[in-house]
Amino acid sequence: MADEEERTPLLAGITSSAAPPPYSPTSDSYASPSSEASVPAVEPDELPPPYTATPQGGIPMINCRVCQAMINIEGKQHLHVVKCSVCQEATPIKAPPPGKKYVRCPCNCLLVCRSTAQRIACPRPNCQRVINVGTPHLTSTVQSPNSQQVKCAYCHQMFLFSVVARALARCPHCRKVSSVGYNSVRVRGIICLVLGLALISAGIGVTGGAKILILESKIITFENKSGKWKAIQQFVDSYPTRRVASLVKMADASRSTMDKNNKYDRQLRLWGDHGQSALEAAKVCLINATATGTEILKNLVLPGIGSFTVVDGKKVQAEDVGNNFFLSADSVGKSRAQVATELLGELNEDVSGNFVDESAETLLENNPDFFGAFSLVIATNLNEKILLQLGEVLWERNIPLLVCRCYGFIGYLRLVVREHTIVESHPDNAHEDLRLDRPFPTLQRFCDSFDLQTMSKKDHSHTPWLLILYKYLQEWKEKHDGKIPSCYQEKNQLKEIIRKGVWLSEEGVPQEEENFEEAIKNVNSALVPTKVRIKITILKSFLSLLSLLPLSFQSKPFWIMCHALKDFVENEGEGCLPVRGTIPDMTSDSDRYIKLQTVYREQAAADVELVTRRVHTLLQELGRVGCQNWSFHIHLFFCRNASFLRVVRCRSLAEEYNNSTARTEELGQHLESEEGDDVLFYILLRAVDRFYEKYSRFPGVDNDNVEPDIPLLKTCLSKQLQDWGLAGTVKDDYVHEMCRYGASELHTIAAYMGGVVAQEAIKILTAQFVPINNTYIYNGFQQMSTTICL
Amino acid sequence: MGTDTECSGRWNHIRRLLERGGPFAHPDFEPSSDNLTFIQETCRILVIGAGGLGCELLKNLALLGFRDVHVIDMDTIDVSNLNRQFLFRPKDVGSSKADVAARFINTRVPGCKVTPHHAKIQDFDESFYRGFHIVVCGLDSIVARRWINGMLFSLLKYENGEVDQTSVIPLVDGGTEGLKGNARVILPGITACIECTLDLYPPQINFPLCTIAHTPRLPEHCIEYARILLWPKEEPFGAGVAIDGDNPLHVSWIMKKAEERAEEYGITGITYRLTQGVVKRIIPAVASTNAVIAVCLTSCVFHNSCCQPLNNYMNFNDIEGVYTYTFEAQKRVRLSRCSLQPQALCFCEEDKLQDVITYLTESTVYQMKSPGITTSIDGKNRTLYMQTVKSIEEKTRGNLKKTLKELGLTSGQELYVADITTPSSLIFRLALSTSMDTSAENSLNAAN
Repeated sequence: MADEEERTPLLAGITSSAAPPPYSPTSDSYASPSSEASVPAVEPDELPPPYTATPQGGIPMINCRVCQAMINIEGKQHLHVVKCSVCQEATPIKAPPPGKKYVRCPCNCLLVCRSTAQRIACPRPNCQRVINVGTPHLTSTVQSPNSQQVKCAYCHQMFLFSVVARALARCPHCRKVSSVGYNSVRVRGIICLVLGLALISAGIGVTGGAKILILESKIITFENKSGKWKAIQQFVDSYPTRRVASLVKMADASRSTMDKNNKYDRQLRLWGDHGQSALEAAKVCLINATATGTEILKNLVLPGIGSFTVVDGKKVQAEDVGNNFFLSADSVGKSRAQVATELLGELNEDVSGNFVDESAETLLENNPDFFGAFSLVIATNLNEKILLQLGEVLWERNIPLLVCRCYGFIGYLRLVVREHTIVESHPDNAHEDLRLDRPFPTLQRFCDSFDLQTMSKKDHSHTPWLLILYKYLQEWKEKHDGKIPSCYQEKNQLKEIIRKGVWLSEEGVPQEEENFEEAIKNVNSALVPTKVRIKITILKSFLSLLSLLPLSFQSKPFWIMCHALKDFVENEGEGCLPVRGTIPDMTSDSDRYIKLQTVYREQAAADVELVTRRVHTLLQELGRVGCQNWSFHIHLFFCRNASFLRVVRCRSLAEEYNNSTARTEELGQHLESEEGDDVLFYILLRAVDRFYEKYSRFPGVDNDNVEPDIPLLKTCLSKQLQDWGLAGTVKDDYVHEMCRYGASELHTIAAYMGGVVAQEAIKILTAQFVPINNTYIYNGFQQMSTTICL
Repeated sequence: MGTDTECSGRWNHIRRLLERGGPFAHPDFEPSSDNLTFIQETCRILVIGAGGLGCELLKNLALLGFRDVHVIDMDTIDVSNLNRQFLFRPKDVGSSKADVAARFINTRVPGCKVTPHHAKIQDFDESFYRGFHIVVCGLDSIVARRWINGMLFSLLKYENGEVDQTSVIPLVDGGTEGLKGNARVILPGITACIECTLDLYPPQINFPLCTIAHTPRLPEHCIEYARILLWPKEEPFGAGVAIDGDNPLHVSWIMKKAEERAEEYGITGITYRLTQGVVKRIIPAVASTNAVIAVCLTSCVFHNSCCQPLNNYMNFNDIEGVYTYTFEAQKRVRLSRCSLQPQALCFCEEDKLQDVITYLTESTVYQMKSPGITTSIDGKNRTLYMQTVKSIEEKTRGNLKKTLKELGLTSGQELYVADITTPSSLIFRLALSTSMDTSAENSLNAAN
C-alpha cells in the first residue's frame, strides 16, 4: 500500500538553484491514523563516524543509539551498521549505501529503505507499524549560513553544502563527489586539457621509443604500449573525482584526530573519549537566541557537540546587542537566529550550526515533530503557555528539556526528563571498597602468607597498610568473638595495638614507620562494615526502586543489569555488591602492592562473571535471545561503578503547573522561613508570568511603571498563592525587587546560567555526572543558589 | 562614534538596575544615570590573565559597559586552549593571548577599549598598579597570586594605624579545576587576603623520590621516573634540552621509558594522555566552569555598585547537582601582610641559618620558594643568604651551616626576607632563646 507514495521524491519540487521554500504547515494527505507513527528520518549526518581520538591502543567504541551502551566496533569499521550487544538493536556507523536511508522505528528497529521512501512498514512481527518518514519540508527550513542547496550529480539527492570554502561536494547519500558551481568545472576542464595534451605527447614519445624496441621484441613492445595506455586512461578517468577526494579525506582525517586530541585534551580528562563521542553525536536545539541562550550554546559548541539548531523568529534589536556577545553591533534588524548561528559557528569548526527563522510558537503549531529530531532541547525566556506546549511535545517523545530564564539578578533552571540513568557519576570522594571486615578467600590466603614478626626491617616498613590492618584485625577478632571494632573507643584501642606493632630498634626504641601511620589513619574509614555502606547506597540510589519495576521485553539494559546486580547481592554476594577491584596507593614495595592489587582485581573479575551469568539468565527469562556476546568490559564497567549508579526522574512541567499536582506543601514551607530564601524567587517568577498573561507586558519594564506595578504584581502573587491553597505571604521587598528588574536580562546572570545549563546539558548527553532534580535558582546579588524538586 | 549608547537603547538592561533602587541593593547605592557614566568613563580595571577565566572576564566586563580595561598575560595561544578560550581561533595559535583577546573584544563591542600587555606582572611597578580601581585575577599560579597580593598591600597607606580607605584597591581572584571552582574578594588590609588562606589551595601532588626510584606502584610513578631520573641522565634530545610537554617526541620518549619500567614491575595503565598529564601537571578544564567563576568575579566588580558584594569566599561544584557555598574567610592577624607589626621568628641560638630557611619554605603559613635573608648589623646591611643570585649564593652558602649565634644575631634583630612570592621584603623580628627546645614554639607559630 505504501508503494505509490514511496516513489515520490524526498525533496519534490525543489530545483538546485532555488532557495528553500518558506516553511509551510504540513497539510499532509497522509495524516497519521492511530496505527501509524511519524518519525523523522535518521539523517546521514546524524551519525558521525566514531570518535577515533583514542591515542594509543585505544579500542574504537561508539555509543548505541538506542541504549547508549558502548559498542566495540573494532574490526567492524567496514560495516554500515553494528549490533549493540546490550539491547540487540542496530546502530549505523556509516552513512547509508547510495540511494538508501536509515529510519528508526519507534520500536527501536533500524530500517534501511530507499532514500525516496516516505512511508514504510516495520518488519518486526510484534510491531508492524507503518512509519511516516519526516516530512520533506522539515529539512528545508533548516539552513546553515553560507550554505546552499545542491543536487548530487549521481543520485540526484538534494543536500546542503558550504559553498565558501570548497568546490567539491561529497553527497551524503551516495558518497560520490560532485563539483559545485561553474568555476570548478572550468578549472577541471583546463586540467583535463593540459593533461590530455601532455599524455598525447607522451604517447607519441612512447610510440617512438617502442618503434626502436620493435627490433628486439615485438610482443613486449605491444604489451608495454597497451598496458601504459590503460593505466594512463584510468588515471585520467579517476583524477578529477576520486583521487582528489581521497587525498583531501586522508589529510582531513589525520589532522582532525590530532587536533581533536589536543583541542579537547582538558575536557577528555573529565569525561573520556566515550563521553566525547556521545557529545559529538548530540543534536541540540536552542529556542530563542537571547543572551542566556547564546551563552549556553557557546559552552556547548566549544567542547564540540555534534550540531545545534537555533529557533528564533525575532530580529536583532539594539538592546540585544547590549547584553549578547554573539550579536554584533551591525546586526541590528537582521534575523537573530541567523546572526547568532553565524557567530557561534565560528567557535568550533567541527560543530555544524543551523537555524530556523521562526518562533517556537509557530513551529509547535505547524510541525511539533520538528522537535522530535533532537537529543536535547534548551528553551530560554519562553512564556508559560508555549513552554507548557513544548514540555508536552517533548515529554511524549521522551526528549530531555532544559528550561532557563534570567530575570534581573535571578537565574532559573528546570530540567525535565522522564528518566535519566547514570553509570559514571564520578563521585567526589568515594569510599574505598576493601572488604577488610569480610575478606574474600583469596585476600585471606594472601594476607595469611605473611608474618610481620619474622620479616626483615625493610620488609616490615614496606608492608602495605592493608595487610597490617588485616593482621591486627584478626588478632582483635580472636579476642572479641569474631567481631570487628564498631565504636569509637574500640577503634582507638585497635589503633593503640597497631601503634605497638612498629619496629623496635635494638635498644627497644619504637621506630617511625610510615606504613603503620597509614594503617592507624585508615582504621576509621576502612572498618565501616561493607554491608552498612551498601545499605546506604541502596537507600540513596534506586536499588530500592527495583521491586517496583518489573522487567519486560523492552526494559533498558541499565535496568536489566540492575536487576542482575540485585540478584547477585541477594545470592552469591551475600549482601554485598561485587568487589570494585581497586585499591588506593599506599606505602609499600612494588611487589606486594602489585600482588595485592591483583588479588582485588581478580576477585572483581570473578564477581563480574557471576553478574554476567545473572544477566544472561534474566535475558533468557525475558525471551531476549542472542545475549551470548554481551561484552565483559561493559559488565566490568557497570560493576566497578555499582556503588555509584544513579537515576534521576523528573516530574513533568504539566505536573508542576497543574495546581492539583503542584508541590504546594513544599512551597508553603519556604513561605514561612524567616531567613532570606531563594525559592521565593521561583514563586515570584510564577507571579510575574501571571502578570504577563494579564497585561501582556512584564512588571516594571518602563521606568514610569515600576511603582504602579508593585501593587498589581502583589495581586498576581496573592492569586497564585490562593490557587495553590497557601495561606502565607511573601515579603513586599521581593515584589518590589521584581518590579525593579523589569525583565532585564543582565549579561553576567546570563553568562552564569550559560555555564550551569551547559554543564547540565553535557551531563544529560554524556550520561556522566549527576544532573539537578529538578529546579535550580541562582540569586545573583548574593551569589547564592539553591535546588528544589518541584 | 559615541552614538551607540545614546541612540539605540543598547544599555537598557543594565540601566534598569543602575538607575533604580531596590530593597536588596547595597545600603550605599544611589540609583542614578551617573552610575553608567562612571562605569563607562571613569572606572579603570586591570585583568590579570587572558586564559580561560580571562576571556570570560573581558567579555563580561565589556558587556557591562566597562571601557577602560587593561589585560596582562605573558602566554601565547596553544591548541589545547581552544576548547574554552573562545576569543581565540585556530589561526591565532602561537600569538599573544593578551593581544588577540583585546583585539577581539574591541572589535565585537564597539566603544570598549581593552589595552593588552604581553608581559609578566613583575614587569610593572607600583605606579602602574596604583592606576586601577580594581584588579581581577584569572591566574593558574599561586606564586603570581601572592605577588599581586603583596603588590596591592604595598600600595596601602595608613593613618594613625588605620588603613586609609582610598588607598585600598580590591583584588578579585578565582580559580577552576574541572567542574569545581572558587571566587573571592579581597580588600587588602581589611579582609582576609591570599596569604591568610594559603592553606585553602590544594597542595601540589609530589611523589616521594624514593617511591619513584625504588618502589613504583602506579603508572604515574613510572612516568615520573622517566621524567625526573632518566631524562637528565640520558639527555635523549641533546645536552641541556629541557622537557617540552607539548613536543610529542619528548612525551613519547618518556612514555616509552615509563612503559619499560612499568613492565618490569607488572604495572599497567600507561597511556600517552596520562604521560602528558603528569609531565605538564595538567589540570582538567572546561568552558562551563570558567563561565560560572568568571561571572562570580565580574559580579564582584559590578555589584559593588548596585547590590551587596560577595562576602567573601565562594565555592562552586557541579559534579553532583549544582552546589554553591559562600563563607567569610577570616583574616590572620598574626601574619605580616595583615598586620603592621613585624612577625616574630622564634629560634634557638644554636639553630643554624638553614633551619630558618627550612622553616620559611615548609611552614604552611609562609610557603616561600627561595627566601633571601638580609639584616642590618651595626648599621650595615648584610646579606645572610641569597639563593637567586649565583655569585651571592656562593659567597653566602657557608652561612647556612653557622648557628644564629655565630652569625652575630641577637634577640630583637630585624630580618628582611625577600622571595618571589612577594614584591617587597617581609620584616621579621628574631626572638632567640637559649633553650634547646624551640620546635614546639615553631609549630605553635605555624598552627596560628
